[in-house]
Amino acid sequence: MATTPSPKTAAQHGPERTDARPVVTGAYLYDAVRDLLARKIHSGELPSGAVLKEGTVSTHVGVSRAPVRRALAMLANDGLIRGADGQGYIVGQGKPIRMSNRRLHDILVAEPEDIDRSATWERIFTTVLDEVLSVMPFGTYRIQEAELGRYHDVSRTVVREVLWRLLDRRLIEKDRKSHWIIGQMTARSVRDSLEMRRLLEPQALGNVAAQLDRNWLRQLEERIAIALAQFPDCNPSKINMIERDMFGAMYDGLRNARMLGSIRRNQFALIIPTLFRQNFPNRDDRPDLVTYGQIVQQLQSGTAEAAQVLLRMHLERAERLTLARLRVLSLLPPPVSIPYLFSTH
Amino acid sequence: MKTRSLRVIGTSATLTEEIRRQAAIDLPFEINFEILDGVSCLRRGVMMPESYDVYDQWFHSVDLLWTAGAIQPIDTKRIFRWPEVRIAGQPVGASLGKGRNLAPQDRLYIQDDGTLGPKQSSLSSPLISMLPTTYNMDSFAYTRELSAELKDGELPSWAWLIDDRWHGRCTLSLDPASSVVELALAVRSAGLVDIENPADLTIEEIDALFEVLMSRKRTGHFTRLWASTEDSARILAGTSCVIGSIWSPAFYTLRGMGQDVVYAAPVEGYRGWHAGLCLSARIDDHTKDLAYAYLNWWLDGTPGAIMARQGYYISVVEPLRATMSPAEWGYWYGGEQSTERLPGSSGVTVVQPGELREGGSYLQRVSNVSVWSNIMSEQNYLERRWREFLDA
Repeated sequence: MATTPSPKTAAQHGPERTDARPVVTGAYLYDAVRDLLARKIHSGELPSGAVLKEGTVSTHVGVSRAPVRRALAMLANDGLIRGADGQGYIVGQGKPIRMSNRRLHDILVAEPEDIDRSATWERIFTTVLDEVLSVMPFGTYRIQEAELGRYHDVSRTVVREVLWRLLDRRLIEKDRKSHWIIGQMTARSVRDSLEMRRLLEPQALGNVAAQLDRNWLRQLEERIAIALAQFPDCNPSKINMIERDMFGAMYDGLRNARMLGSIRRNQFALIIPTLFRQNFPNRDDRPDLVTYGQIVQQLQSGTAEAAQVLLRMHLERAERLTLARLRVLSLLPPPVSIPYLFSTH
Repeated sequence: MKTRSLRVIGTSATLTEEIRRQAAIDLPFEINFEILDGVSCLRRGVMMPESYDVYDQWFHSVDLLWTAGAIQPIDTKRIFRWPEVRIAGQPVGASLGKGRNLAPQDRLYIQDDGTLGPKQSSLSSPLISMLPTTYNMDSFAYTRELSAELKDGELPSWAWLIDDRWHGRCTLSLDPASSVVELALAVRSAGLVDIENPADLTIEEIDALFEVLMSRKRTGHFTRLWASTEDSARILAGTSCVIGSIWSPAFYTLRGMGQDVVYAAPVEGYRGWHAGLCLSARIDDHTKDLAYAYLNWWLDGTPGAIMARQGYYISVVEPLRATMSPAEWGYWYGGEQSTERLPGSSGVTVVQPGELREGGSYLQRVSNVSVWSNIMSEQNYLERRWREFLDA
């Protein structure tokens, strides 16, 4: 008899990442700065003799002086740079060469994503969020705090920070024994969340419509058009990314933080199509993609009301398919375990 | 070189040895049956459509199979007896009595927008998700020992499944698809939980139901639960069990063994189910021809007669007149007293002269369905509570 395959989860096989574990080097700013400078020195972009001063590096990289000071000290310790009598540091063994601010800036910020300036909790939050969401359709789970810290190589404080934010999103709760519990996603919770989204998101779209970046919208429209042209053979991760932008990035500029918070709290069921696409062939996503394309077109031509109507229609239509997919997911064996999550049934 | 063979997955309810043997005689290609329990079959059906050509199970599995893209439309133009097909004895589209909610035909037709629904699409020869084949009305069986403990005039009720009088002597199916609906009927009839629709429980109803069940389970109300027809017959034939929700093949197996058991026609009505055949989404054109031949064969009379001898009905009845004796038709379908000894599907006598099938004719029994088996809205929540119940 053929064996039944295990379902994939967003966290383990998420198309947006190749590895569920975060890159831990860079968990601290000084590490990230040191890595950036070391890379530039090894590649020769920062030539031997280049002068690095705490203040200038700090300005160009956009982080405070303390982590830069520590990063420079570490590089000196590694022998990649040497002290220059209170005048900063010099790369390698060469004679000091003066570099214009402009040139230093270009070298250091050529890859602005090199340095993740967010706090540690922010860097693991999305990963933990995906891990938590990916088990929600399958049952009730308990989060083991210490294991979570070990798994993501972060301190207890960071773990707490992440958990409080998940609590704020209503994705987890504390039970009477003070355990962190991930409640199971039910048909009712999905229906309720979609009811909230229908109330909130069309309004939010109207609020942000005028300030949306036209370039970004044009690129989004192109990606939707490509996915549609290739459908059903398009990579499911492309559809996931389109949905992340349609319902995530789209509202990022919302000034009303209360509204944004409520929207985010009610979007947990977006994991259902993501998990579904990882296990089953594309078939029913075409009408949604068509609607996404129309919404983005309306936003570009400045007819936000039409975009709002389309969005409301989409959110009404989404209920039937989302619930049908949730029923299918209930049939899959629970996902391969994530070490800090314990099924309570 | 590709051998001409067809892979069928299903449960022991319909993939019987008699069906396999007859198919091997009647059809010019090899057929491989893979028999699975209900849950594994549905899981395989949904997750590995490449591992079978034809799927044979309950109609309600269509909800999951279709959503998962595991099956493909069946063209009724290629089903020769399509105009004769009746769902649970009724013309396709007719109402199905009391158990109206989510009756089998609600997901029969493929609509123009690609979803499933009860209405024929605009095409002249409609496309369907599953070819309706066997169906039945289920309840539970009980022994004479239990009868002796009944009050005068007490009528069989689903509430008997949780009745303290036979504490520790009740069995159920391990499959939640049938058991949960029956237990919902039981707790409702016993007045323990208010349940609006036993085929589609709410979260609160599920919690209340399982509160009752968990306490019954912990105190040992249920004996071992069964995994297959043979298993259920074995349990009920044993001395430790006096009542059990079992299916008709098991009941007639017990009768064939000479066991003095009664099949109940519960006052609340039956739990109805309908089964059928689906085509895998991955089937190639050549194998698809074999699959259509197999589907058509099922409606031809011979499989229907084999199924009738274990108590199941079939969606096309006309050819049965030629494949069953008048006495067989009278007992199994007509609800008439049997005039002679009737064989079960394996040839052993399962009905003695003078016996009457409980509940009457097939149309009377259909009209007395209280609930049709179904995939509930809160399926994933229910699955979890059921696992918890089994582990308790």
